[in-house]
Amino acid sequence: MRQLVVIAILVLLLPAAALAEDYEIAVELSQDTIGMDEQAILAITVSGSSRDLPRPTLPVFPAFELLNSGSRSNMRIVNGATTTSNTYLFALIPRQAGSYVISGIAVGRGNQRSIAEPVTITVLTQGSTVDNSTAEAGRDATGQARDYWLEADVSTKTPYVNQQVTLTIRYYRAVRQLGSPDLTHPTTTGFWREYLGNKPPTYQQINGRRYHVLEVNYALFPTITGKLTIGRAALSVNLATRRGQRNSVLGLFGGGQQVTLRTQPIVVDVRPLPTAGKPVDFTGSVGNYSLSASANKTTAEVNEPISVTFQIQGSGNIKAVADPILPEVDGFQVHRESTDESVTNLNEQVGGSRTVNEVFIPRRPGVLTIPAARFNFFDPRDGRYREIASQPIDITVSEPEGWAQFDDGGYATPNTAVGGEMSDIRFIKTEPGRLRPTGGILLTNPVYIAVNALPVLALIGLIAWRAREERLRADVGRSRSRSAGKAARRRLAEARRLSEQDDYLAFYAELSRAVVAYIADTANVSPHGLSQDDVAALLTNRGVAEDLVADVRGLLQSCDFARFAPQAGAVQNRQSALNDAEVVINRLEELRRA
Amino acid sequence: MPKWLCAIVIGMLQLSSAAGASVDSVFSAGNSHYEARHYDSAIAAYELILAIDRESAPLHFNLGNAYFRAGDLGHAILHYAKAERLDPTDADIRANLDFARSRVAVQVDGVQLNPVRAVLGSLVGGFRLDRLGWISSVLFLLLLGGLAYRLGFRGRARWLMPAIYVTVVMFVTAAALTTIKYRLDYLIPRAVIVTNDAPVSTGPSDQAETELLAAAGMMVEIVNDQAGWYEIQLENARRGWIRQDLVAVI
Repeated sequence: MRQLVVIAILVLLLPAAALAEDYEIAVELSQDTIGMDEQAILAITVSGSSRDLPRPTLPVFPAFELLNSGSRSNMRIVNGATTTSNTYLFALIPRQAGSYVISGIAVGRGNQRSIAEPVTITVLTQGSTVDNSTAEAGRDATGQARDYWLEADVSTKTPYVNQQVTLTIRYYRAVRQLGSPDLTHPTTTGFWREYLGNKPPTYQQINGRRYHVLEVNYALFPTITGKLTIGRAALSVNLATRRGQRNSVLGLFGGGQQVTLRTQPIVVDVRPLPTAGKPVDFTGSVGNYSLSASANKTTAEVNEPISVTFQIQGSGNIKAVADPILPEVDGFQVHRESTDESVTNLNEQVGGSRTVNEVFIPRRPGVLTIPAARFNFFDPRDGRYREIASQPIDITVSEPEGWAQFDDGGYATPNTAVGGEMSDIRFIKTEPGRLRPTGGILLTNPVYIAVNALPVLALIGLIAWRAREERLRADVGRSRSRSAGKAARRRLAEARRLSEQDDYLAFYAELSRAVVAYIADTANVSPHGLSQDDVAALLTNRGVAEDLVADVRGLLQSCDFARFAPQAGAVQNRQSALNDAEVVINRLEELRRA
Repeated sequence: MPKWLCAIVIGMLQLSSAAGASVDSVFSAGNSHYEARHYDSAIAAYELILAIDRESAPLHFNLGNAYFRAGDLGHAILHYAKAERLDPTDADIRANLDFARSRVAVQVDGVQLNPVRAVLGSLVGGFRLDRLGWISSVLFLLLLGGLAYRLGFRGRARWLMPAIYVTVVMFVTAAALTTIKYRLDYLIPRAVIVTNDAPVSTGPSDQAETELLAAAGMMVEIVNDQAGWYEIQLENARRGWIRQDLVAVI
């Protein structure tokens, strides 16, 4: 229940929260004076931080007929703040002559209602406000009204260097247009150019014909003195002219005529800035500016950074504006934090702001003053140099707890964060740290790879060795059997050596041992204590032929007999016994391998 | 700085190194220039160390500071980002990178492009790649030692198998973190826009329509590379093409 109440309150508060957002509304007229046969475009711009901006509400205008002419929207994200603006266009078609105040255009409701500043429009009794030169341009050589033309004009032909010259290109047409026009911008060598965009289209009555007028504006800032030429602008467009309709096949394919319109070149005589009254530290800024300074705090502790913003604001070529001049500062260490430019275009006048952020770090307690910054510029409106200054700012600096006088060295300055939010970058490191090859990565370092790979190989080798040992240990019988022949031959060789030494007792003992041990190894039994019968039984169990078993038994009996009968130890008998033993063992070895 | 001047200074550095001096002296000279607010000279000194193929987190940090003071936000953020990649545990680097990024003229709202990657990134964000690598190696060697004792020498101690299991878990975890860190830091190419009002176009051509003007300091991900152009992705998932000379790869 409690949760439901909370949700209900939130739902009720949501519309209020939406309305609590800030809206701004601005109204602009394409022309402040029109004729009875003309119309002006009323542009209403609603802007705010919300993406879902409300539509403006308009009062009734009895003197005008109002036609919706479309809308456009724009969204900007600057320093994390989103600004959305929607512009609604309306054509104002006059019903009667007179001067009228357009007011009461609003957005929002109740306390959040914003009302636009009123604008005034004058409707002349005659049909058109067009001047003679435009009317003249609207006639051809025979005095007939033209179907279309393109003209260019500048706000001044004798500007000062770096003073804004507004170049206006107007495209007039009284016939239907097929497709979009393609404008080639004029060459403006010697000027820094800022494109101001095109105005909403209007209609004008010229020489008795109604023309659709499209206007494009540029802000030009001459960078050198002397005569500069603004080149021709060209506009290529397909128009439904009478000639085009004649040339089309049966008039089925639109009857358009591709035409290219060009303006006349315009020569501008750029004047140098006057030398009289020029400040010594003048840096060439031209326009009309103001300078302000603000600090994020006026009380601080020693070594606590203070962010100070100096802002030059006004109209002119803001990109060519220099930084404000800051005099020597006593008691502060000053760091440049950042600079920022913002260019705006208001009523075809380029301007904006240049913002310089400095970090002031107080180095001693007391009341310290951030002095006034200065800025000078040339104002082309009255042809004079002006110098402006910001207000000085007093900062009350207190001693922090445990404060001690630092040397003025940078390393003494602590890395300070204020209120959890940094107001400056932290200071540089005093030691370079462990320098290593640029882009070097540990994982691809050969030493690292070797450190990890070699133990793996060692482990594999260890496991392989261990497995072999175990396999051998697990198969003792097979191993004994396999090496039995080799051991028997070794004993026979020893017996031969004993025979040559004439040690016949040892000879027969060794011969007997060679045969018995061979049979015991192949049967995987212990040779100790095996009698002749045991040996015969082992051979019989293995399926050895009777004659061979008898030969073995005979050989072993001969050996036993010879050890107790000295006459049997003759050399011939020893050789015969040795041969018999070799034959027996060879035959048994053949049987084992089979 | 001209190449010939670089070459002379590098030669002098090598000579001075042979004479007992070191790159440390160039680093200190850069610091002195910085303190005297001669930021261009400080940048030149720090860049000299980079020119002889040596880098460290403090070097990139100081270079970022010098570029910041000189008003070059793009290169400042570039070097802070490089410093952070080398040592993500340094709070000063993280603080200055965040501070500098908050000063970028155009801020875009980030969207979570890949939730898994975001989680993995936060998981390994505070670790240095080389430390993770060495931790993995030590655990790997311990595991091999345990296996060698068990398999090679028939170790039968009661503690052996539990110790091997614990080491396996720790090694797999460390190796996974190392792989993730390496992938996020080095295999996904990132860059910083170093020029203000850098046009981001719909295609890799000067004739392509400009989608938006990017501000110096914006960090982007490089998605594609084609004949002098990068296809980049902004933090709000928006994609476009930009000339390669307008960005610097981190």
